[in-house]
Amino acid sequence: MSKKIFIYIFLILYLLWVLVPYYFLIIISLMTHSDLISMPPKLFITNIYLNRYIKLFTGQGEVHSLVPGIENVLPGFWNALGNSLIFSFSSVIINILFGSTISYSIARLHFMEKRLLSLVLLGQIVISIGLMIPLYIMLSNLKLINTWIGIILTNSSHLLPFTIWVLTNFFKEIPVEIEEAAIIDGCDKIRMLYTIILPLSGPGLIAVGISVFIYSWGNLMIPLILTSKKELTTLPLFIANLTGHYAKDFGLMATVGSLTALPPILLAFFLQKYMVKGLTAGAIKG
Amino acid sequence: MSEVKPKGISASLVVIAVIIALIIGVVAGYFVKPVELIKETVTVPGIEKTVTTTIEKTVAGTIEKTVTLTPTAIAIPFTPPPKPEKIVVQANEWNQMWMKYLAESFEKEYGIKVEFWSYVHVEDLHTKTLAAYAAKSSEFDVIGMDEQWRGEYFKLGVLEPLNKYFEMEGIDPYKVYEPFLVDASTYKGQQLYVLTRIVLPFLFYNEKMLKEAGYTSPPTTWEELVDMSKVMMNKGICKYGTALPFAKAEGLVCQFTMFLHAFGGRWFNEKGEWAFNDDAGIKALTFMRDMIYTYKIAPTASVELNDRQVFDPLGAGDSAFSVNWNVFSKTATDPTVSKEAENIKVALAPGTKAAGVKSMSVTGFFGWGIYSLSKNKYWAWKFLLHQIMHPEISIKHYDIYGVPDSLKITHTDPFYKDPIEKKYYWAPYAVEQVRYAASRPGTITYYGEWTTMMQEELHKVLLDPTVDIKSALDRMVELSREMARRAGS
Amino acid sequence: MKLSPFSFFLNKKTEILFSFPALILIFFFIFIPISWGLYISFTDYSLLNPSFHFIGLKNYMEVLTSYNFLKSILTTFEFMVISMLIEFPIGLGIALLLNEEFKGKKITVALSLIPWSIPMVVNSLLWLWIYDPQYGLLNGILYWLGIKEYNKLWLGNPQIAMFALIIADSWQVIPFHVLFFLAGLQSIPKTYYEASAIDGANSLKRFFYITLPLLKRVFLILLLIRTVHCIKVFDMIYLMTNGGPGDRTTTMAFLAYLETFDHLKMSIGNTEAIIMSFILIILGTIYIMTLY
Repeated sequence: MSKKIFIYIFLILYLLWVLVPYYFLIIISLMTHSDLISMPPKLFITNIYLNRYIKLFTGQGEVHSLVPGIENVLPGFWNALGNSLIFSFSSVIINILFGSTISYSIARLHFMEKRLLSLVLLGQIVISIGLMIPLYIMLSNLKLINTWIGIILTNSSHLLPFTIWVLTNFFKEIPVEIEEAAIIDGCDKIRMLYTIILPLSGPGLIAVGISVFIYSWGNLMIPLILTSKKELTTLPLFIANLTGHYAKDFGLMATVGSLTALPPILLAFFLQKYMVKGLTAGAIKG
Repeated sequence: MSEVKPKGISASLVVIAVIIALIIGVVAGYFVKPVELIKETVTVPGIEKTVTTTIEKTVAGTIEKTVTLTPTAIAIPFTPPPKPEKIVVQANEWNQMWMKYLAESFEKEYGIKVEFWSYVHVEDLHTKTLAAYAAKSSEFDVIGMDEQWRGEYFKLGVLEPLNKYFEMEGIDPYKVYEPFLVDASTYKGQQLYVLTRIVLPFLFYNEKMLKEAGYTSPPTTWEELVDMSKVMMNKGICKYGTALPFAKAEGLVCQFTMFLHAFGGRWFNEKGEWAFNDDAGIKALTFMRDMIYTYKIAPTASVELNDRQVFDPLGAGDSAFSVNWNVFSKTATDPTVSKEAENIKVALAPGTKAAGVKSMSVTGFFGWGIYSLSKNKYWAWKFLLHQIMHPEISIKHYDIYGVPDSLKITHTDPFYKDPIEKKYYWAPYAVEQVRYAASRPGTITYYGEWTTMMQEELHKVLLDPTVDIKSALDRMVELSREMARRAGS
Repeated sequence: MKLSPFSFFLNKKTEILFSFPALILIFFFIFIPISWGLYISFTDYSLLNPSFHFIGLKNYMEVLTSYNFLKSILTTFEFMVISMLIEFPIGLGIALLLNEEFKGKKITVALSLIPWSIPMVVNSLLWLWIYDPQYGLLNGILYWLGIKEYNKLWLGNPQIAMFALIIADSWQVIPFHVLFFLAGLQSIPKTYYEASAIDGANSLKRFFYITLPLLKRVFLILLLIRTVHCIKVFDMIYLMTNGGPGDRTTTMAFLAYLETFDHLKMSIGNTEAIIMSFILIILGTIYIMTLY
């Protein structure tokens, strides 16, 4: 019995460790600046300061920040949000479309299976700031800097290795017999695609979609290096600009931060089954 | 290149050409509106017709100067070019708050739309302007100007000199703006841009803490500040004397400028060479570091604090002093930002007893000028002029940002001055401080490289109390001279 | 595996067609830049001076003998080793706990995914606040504990900066380890444990003789994934320390970025990037060979 208690204690500590930081993120954004400069830091909000959120959502209102005027960056959040949505969704669509076709080829048709998978794995590993530097030089010569095509295609292609890896494993798990049976039953190619393959690969596609979305949502490197126009700022870059330049006003940073973190958290929490499958795909069976 | 005229152009061709030209002329004349000759006289309240004045500067390194200005009582009649549809002004979300009012009034008066080109970082301004200039593009009309780009912009010719515009209007800039601000924006005899506001640090202090320790007035020298801090810290009145903004950033170079000149040093010697490694420089840098490690009146966290975070300890009631940008005048008295709102007062930045300097601050001026490749220079000028013509918009700087604007009239004419001083007790201090301020060497053309080097070297000294100051300063001067050599200036 | 009868309906062309778009993207945005970068590293290219003069191995000589680069390799290695020494045991420990059956297991697993899904930027700004020397949470905790010198520098302290970064990264990354280990643990058949229990083995013996060996594959894969990740880490350093006090947290990846975009020494930065990419390729090849 003591073992169970031991486990519960540790797990509660673990959960605290996991959840408390996000809790602070939210309450920082709801505190006035003068409350924020208390030592020790306030654990609970005594008077809620909603002005930052009001300014964010309505563009009106006065926010008392450390340096008067810096709160006017807040309405830029919506531009960044829109850009992040476009960026993430496009990457998901491209990954699912292109990734599923090639994964199917590899899984069913064994199209250069070993070679392609190895190449794909290698590609996944090489992606880093080290890749971004020659990529930047290349794209700037092609005048693709500061363009949607530049950042969306770059991000999509950087996520494709992961997508292919996961989807190939998923497709391999769908027994060939099902397709064979369908053909015997007189099902034609197209109908089979809709009624059998897509539903069966659904979980895999969702897993990939969520992972690609979350990764693209939080990607800082690509917008940082490949864009310099304010109109193309995505949320991570927007936050990065906040942390660097504008006086490290934690209230403002937390406001934007807590909202930015919300979609991925919700996705991960409610669709965790798929995410886990996607992340660990290939780890067990390989 | 001389063109060889083909011989034997037939007469018919000539006739056809003339007819076409006539048609074009008629059609064009139909569409192009005639330009009216407008005689404009400028009346700005407070400008005198006779002007002979003496300007005395207290910036270390310059001398007294007598300036005689010729009277320009009559504005030169001038034919303004046709109005464009819009002018493009560089701004960011922060600046825009004030410029919006100016733009509204401008649009109402002239019917020209003001479009703001927004940037995120101040540095964006610099790179974008240079990029546009290099590409010979005319996308801006009014460009933002930070004082450290003076040398570079002048060398490249990015800014349109404003002397002739002032003459055209019959305005003497020294009468309109604070004289120091005019000098700050003049380079080699040319007025390159104008400053819209006065931003520079002065002393913030917690009156209640000082009273508790038995002091009736704030310190006037840094040595006094250190002594007061030690007393208050010992009595447990405050946690430390002051936090210092010594993070590796441009603010650090500002701080060094302030201390260097407070101890009587200067950037260049008479020969124009870098020479801040003299006695004064050593004293200054030693003092900066001693405040943290020897006198212990500043927290060691100072090496990580930038010049805005530095205000927080004062607001939280942990420190008694802060020599900080006057932008904080507003937040200092705002209870939602500062817990000690009722107790914080301002005074002139301290000087030093060692060098007998009364007060010393550092300039952080930001202004705007006319882009030399703009196609609407006259109307861009009108936009700059609009601030001068409308002091009632200019004084909004006090409300919005908590800083004084740059117009002399709002500081001298009781009509404006009295309500401002009644509302903002700190106003006269900020205006007065302008007379006691030094600048960073923004006239060098290699400022970007120089400041990166300085930040790194200064930060190294401040991080480690064992680093030898003399050799560090010698190294900085050596590197600066090397850069000067390479830049050929 | 039998060839699907589906393949009777398709010919080679369709295979290639299906794979085409993905292959083009990967080729163009991953492999071409590497080759391009390789080519440029042998020239004196710069964006301000886009002329290519072949200068042979000069860039490499300069980089491989530069103090900054060699120091950054050490820093990267330091980050990697300390990270893994912290994350692996904790990840395994928590996975062992989560492997037990208890009420609310599903919720716990779901909640533990939260740190991982938070964008890295948000994580960085959160820890920037926690580590704030004046009013941060960590110093606040020290204050509660009654420690007199509670105004400590974390990210600004050359000795602790690296450690602070690693903790901030660990918070986000440990769930990943937990997931991996959990998946691995769940694939160990319960019968092994039951059999050993019959033979009289206690839990410690069970752990060392059954659990660990059977986790070897997962362990190895995780090891390689994490090694690669630690070498690549950039976002966090950029946001939190910008290279650290001095150059204390300047890893290889960050140095390449600094040289290229800050100091504008493109050729040097590019060479460093290529060296880093090749280290990653070598590691990746080891990874693949281990898997197959």
